[in-house]
Amino acid sequence: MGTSTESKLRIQLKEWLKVISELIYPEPPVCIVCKTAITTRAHIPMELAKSNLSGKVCNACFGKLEFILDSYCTVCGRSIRCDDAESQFCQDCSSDNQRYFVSNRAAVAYNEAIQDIIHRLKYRGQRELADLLAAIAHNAFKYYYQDIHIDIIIPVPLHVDRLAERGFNQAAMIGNKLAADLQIPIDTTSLQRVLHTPKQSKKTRWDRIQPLDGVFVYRDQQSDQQREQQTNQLESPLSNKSVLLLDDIYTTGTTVDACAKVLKAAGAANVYVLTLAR
Amino acid sequence: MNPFRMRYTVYRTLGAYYFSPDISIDIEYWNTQHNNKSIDVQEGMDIHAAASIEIVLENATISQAYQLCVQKNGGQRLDGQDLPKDILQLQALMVEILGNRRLTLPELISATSSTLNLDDALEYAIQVLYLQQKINIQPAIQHDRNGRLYCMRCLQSAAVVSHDCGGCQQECYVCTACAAYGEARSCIPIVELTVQAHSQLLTSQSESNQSKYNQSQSNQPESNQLDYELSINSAIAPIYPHPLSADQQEASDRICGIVSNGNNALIWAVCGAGKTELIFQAIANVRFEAKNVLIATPRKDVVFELLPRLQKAFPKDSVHAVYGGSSDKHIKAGLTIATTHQLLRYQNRAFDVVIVDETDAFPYAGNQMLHEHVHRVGKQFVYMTATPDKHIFAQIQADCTVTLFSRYHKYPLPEPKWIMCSSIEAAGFDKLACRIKQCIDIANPIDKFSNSEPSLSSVFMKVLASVPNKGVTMIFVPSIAQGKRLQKLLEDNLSEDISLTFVYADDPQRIEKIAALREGRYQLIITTTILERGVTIPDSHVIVVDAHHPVFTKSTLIQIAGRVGRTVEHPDGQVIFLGKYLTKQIKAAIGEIKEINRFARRI
Repeated sequence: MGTSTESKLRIQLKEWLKVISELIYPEPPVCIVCKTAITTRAHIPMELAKSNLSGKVCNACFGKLEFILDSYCTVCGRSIRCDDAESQFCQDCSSDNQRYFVSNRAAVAYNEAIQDIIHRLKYRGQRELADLLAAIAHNAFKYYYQDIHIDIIIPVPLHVDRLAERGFNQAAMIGNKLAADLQIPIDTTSLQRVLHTPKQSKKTRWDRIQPLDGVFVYRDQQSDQQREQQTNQLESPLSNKSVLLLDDIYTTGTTVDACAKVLKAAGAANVYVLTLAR
Repeated sequence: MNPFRMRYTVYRTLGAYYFSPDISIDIEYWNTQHNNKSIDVQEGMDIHAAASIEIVLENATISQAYQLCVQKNGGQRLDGQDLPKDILQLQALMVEILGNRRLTLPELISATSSTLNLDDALEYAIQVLYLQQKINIQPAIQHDRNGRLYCMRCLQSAAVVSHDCGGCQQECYVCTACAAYGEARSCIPIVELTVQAHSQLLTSQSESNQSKYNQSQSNQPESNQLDYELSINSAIAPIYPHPLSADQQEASDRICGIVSNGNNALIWAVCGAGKTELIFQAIANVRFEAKNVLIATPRKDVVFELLPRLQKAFPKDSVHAVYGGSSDKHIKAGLTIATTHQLLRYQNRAFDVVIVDETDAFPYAGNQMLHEHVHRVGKQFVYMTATPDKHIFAQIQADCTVTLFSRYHKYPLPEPKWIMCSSIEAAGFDKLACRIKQCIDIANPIDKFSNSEPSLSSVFMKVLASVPNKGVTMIFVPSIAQGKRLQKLLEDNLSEDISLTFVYADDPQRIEKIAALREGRYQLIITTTILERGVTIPDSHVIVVDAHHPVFTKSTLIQIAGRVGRTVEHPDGQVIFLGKYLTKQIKAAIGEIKEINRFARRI
């Protein structure tokens, strides 16, 4: 058997030794992404030092992320060139398609670096990356939605089967941290995905923009007691509330749009969407 | 039903504990076993809760208690005729897929059915296999003797954390170290065949192979199937690509002797000695005894290189490669070639003989886990390396080391030269002199003087000039950043017609560049240590830049030097170590190569 034959005492001693040596000679922080030590000698760009990511990522990994800051599409948040000062829409959104959400904002553009991080969290189960993504989401929220009052955060749900397979919902993981930081309540149970759809990542673009009808439902999870306390019993818990919908990647917007549709039908006043990548 | 949602519970009956996803199956089984007397079954806790409490049954923990009850009730089997045919087929398929591996239940199910869907028949088939004691089922995370939680798949404790599980809807444990292989949680069972089932499998397979063999003898068909036991009946002599030299033959005979005595062997052969061919005869002998062999190697590239060579050497035997991304991992073959990462999915003592290639290399060195796994899956070991360290010697008995210090073509190893070079880029007076030289006879000398790009130092230029023009020069650098710097420097300063490139581990075009290198399309190639092993480029020379860097250990330097002079047509070549100062590693590497050459000369 591959079990270790160390006695309990020896294990305890080792762990005490680790704690003490950590006090005397603290190890430098390690970049969550590439696991190399973050040295303070190297020049750290101003944006990194000021943001809440300092000490969590190294310069190289920070540099690979393309933050969307200046010009972006007001609908879907995609980064667009600012030479066309008039148009504030990107190619996808300039056609007149109705969206159920007010706007989507993304923290970074979808490039190889962010794809790698998200993949490692989702498919390889490297849960420590959720902290990093939550910090990025926090920054994006402060940048774009600072002035908007959000009543509740709802992450895009996974189907029960998929959740069982992966063990966690990455959007919910990030959402929980974000909710704790922003002191906004979060609801991970009411919005449910009832149809098991094949992974969006495996579809062609045409397949992805087909509407996802009937995939999401909003099931009121309040207990009877809570319902009785409501002043107007006809109202749903979402009535006139502003919702922040959270997802990891916005590709065509079909998923978040379907969720927004359901949320609005359940009474939400406005649905704002925040994604990590666009 | 999604197999990730199967909820196993522990129940107790007849004085023992069992796991089950659905008590009704077990109740039916026990009733048929005991002639329909109703048996008392007490349902207990969830499987993952069983990982964290100690159920003491005569001083054993839950997993051991479970083993005990298997032994106690040994021999009871549901008669084959009692089960419907499709269940029997499913069971046979699952046993075949499981083979000598240890998989999580969802992995087994997705390998069995093309959809990851567990229907009732599959669940029933699995549970009956379990009750018939043909498979072991255990939670993937368990307590060891000291109460620490460890992961059954990767055998590590440090990475086990508790989490809010989306699968079992409770707080359970997950192993974050091997999450890349698929989730290993305490609510997911791990499955493997029991010893009983293995012996049954072997007898049934050899019976069917005997009949197949008889049939093939009469029909003489062209069969491409991997017939595992068919090979026993044909006497195996390996087919060598070229005949062994006298030294190689002697080494090969000695190895066969050590292996047949049941001892572990160490083969210390220099780079380019033809290590692989040395073990062919030993493999043949072991295969003749119907034992299975594993060749474990650190990298996928080496698997690709070895597979065709072994297939040519053993044309009638079943040779199969298992690596990240390969399909048909379940095919049981007589000779398996696998990367060490794949060994996580094999049972203890799954292979009779394990040949460990490049014992001293990544990922073993410093990666204790993979080292443990290599030793867990085998019964007997043969270690192959060109640069052994003292730990290896401690593990081998006296007389079980076979050395081969002369290369196949009998020429000595090229001895590296050490040249002190404080920097590759021109600096100080060097720079001044270079600039002045560049600025003579130019229209705008002042402009050029202040704006010219960095040039190479005179030491480095001399070194480059000393290397012959034909053939390939490999320049080893300690880091990717350094490599990129050097690439730019050389592109700016050397003539246009010298084709050069830079390759490193994460290079997306790595495979194409290495292929192009083999075809001789590059004259200069800058590389990190990924090319230090396994690669044979005829007519090559090596320059190591920044050889004082800690990444260049003695073994690394010896391996790098071993890239040169591997073929008969080009048995020599230049090996130059450049560095700021002479480190112990460099001295030791040069010393050992000289020592080996001296030894080889005396023989």
